[in-house]
Amino acid sequence: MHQRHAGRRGIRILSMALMAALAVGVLSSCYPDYNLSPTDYDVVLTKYDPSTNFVTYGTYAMPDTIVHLSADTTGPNAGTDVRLSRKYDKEIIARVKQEMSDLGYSLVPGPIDTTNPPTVVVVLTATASTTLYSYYYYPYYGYGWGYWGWYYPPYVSYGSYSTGTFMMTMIDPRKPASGLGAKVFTTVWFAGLNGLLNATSAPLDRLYERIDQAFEQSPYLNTK
Amino acid sequence: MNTFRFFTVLLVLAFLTGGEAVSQANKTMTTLSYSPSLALGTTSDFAGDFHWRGVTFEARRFLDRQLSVGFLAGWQVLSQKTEEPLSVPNGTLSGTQVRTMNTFPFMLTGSYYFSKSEQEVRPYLTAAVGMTYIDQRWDVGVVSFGTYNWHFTAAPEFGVIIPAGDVDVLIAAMYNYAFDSGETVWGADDNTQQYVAFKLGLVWSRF
Repeated sequence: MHQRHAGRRGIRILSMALMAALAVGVLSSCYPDYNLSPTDYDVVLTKYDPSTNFVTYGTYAMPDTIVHLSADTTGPNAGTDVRLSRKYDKEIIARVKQEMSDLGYSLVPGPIDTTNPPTVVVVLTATASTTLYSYYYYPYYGYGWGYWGWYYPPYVSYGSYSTGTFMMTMIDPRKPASGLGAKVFTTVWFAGLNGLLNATSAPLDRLYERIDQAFEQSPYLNTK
Repeated sequence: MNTFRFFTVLLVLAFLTGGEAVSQANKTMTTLSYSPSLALGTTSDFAGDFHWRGVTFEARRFLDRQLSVGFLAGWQVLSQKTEEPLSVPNGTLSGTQVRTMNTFPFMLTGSYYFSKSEQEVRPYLTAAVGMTYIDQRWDVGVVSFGTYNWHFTAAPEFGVIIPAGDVDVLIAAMYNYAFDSGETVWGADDNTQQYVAFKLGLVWSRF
């Protein structure tokens, strides 16, 4: 008799544990968010021209300015561009130069000699935009939800986020892009770094990390 | 398709043998299980190996002491956060990715019990067929990709029911094979998904 009671108590405890586990499982989101930090939204995309042998390169030129691209002013994205700061331009340019040097490229100071151009030209550009979004949710209402065929209207909320993209484009000035005339050249390597703006207290460290990542995931750039 | 035939035949046999139902004919059994899962194959490649979130509800009706038919509905969340760089045509994409797969199987079941006695541990085999709704989501940076499909699914299961008084305990492993349907969220043509759902459940029986 005593054993039977103990068995039932065990089942009761197991039932409660199971119900608790189920409640946690059911109440948890369908899409775990892993408590992502703003820097977790950073991405680095690199692409290259597979017909290029980077070992043949050795010198490069790079304008000492990061070109800020403006978003479409008349199309559907009009008005969403964000003015970017130039606060860290010098540091960013210096970091890219350091990476290029590490890969065996020598900087040719400007202006570019068009009769004997460097093997590649690296152009730095940046752009930013704001995305607006809306979402809605229904207020919690337990017993009798929808019982009379009506329900509470949803709350609607709006938000926005701004993203910035920093791009490094490597162009071969001896390789005209096919079908685009003699003054348009082939991009042999491209890196795009995209992330949320104004999201961290140390933006420069974050930029350095992403610039380093772009070169790290492009080992074929090495001329040594 | 041979698998489909195999499970169909099993289910039909289970229903037909119901004509010989004796004292157990009206017994019903409902089960609520906590069911974590182990992803296999490309499902594992996408969502990672082991996942703790899952729940399964089942109802069975006995045709005789050793056969039952029924249905089940489940929900498994398979998800992982990864920093693994992605190969794209002529390039690489790096950054944090969150890959999530929500699976909702709805299946008919046929079960065979190796023991006739309810007073002892009862091992059983189940053959299940039905449809699984699979929602795949892939978040990279601020971009989110998503797709969903209904998959024809076959799922054999081995388990035991442990008598424990008013409420019994069920421990089982069910191999879910969701046949190819549509495209994956990462663009592959073969959208076959497979995973093993483990079950730790409570069983309520009623005559």
